[in-house]
Amino acid sequence: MSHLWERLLEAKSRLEPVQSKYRVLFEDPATPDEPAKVLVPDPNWMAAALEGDILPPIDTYQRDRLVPDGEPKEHPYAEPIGAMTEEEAIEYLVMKDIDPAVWRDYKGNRTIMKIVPVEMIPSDRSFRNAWRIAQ
Amino acid sequence: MSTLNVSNITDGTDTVGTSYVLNGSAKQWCRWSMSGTAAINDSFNTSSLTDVSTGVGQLAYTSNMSDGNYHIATAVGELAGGGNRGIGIRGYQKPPSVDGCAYMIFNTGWTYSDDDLCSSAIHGDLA
Repeated sequence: MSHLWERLLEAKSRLEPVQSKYRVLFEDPATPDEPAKVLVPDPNWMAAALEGDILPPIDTYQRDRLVPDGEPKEHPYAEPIGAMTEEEAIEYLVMKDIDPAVWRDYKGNRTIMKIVPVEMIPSDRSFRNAWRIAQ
Repeated sequence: MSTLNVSNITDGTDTVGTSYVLNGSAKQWCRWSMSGTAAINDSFNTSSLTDVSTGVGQLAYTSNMSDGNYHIATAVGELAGGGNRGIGIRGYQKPPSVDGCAYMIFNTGWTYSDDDLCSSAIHGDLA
């Protein structure tokens, strides 16, 4: 099994980038005074997710979070998973790149995460630091 | 001109795949814009950009680094302007870590700034 980084090299040489039509809007319950954050999927990563046989299973990243720095990690040499739909890829990315305190552990009744079409994200950033998720 | 067609290079003790050499030593790089709707223009080994707030972006890696002790090279500016800009690491947001790093962009008044030319590359050891 080749290293994930090598598979990404090969994929970038072969696949056209895919700009996702989705964004993930979320608020961090640990910092309630901060504005809402917007997760932007990487177009080369999305191309790899849609292609399949490149990215490792999401649970390998989750287990690797518990491995100390400098110790061998599981995800680089894990057996790649198959092709995902764009919606499945966004869910994978939420679990990979957003703190579990947001998508798994939050028990409050405020909506702190939404997957939205990119058109719903304002392009006017005049009041960027006041962005909140509408309730 | 001659072309060597080999899959590995060895010194007799250690062997390395030529893909590591041919593709340079940067383990991750990204060129992104914080202007308007934040977006990634191009990248390698990047899974996402998080638009944190004005002038603050956080990158996540697909293939993680071994630890947070890696080198980071950055640049920032305007595609069609002459204003001076600076970029730094926003350590209290996300210091250089195995899975990503946060950056802050500011202008000469030390005010956070949403610029359309932001870039970074990292060099170090992969996990």
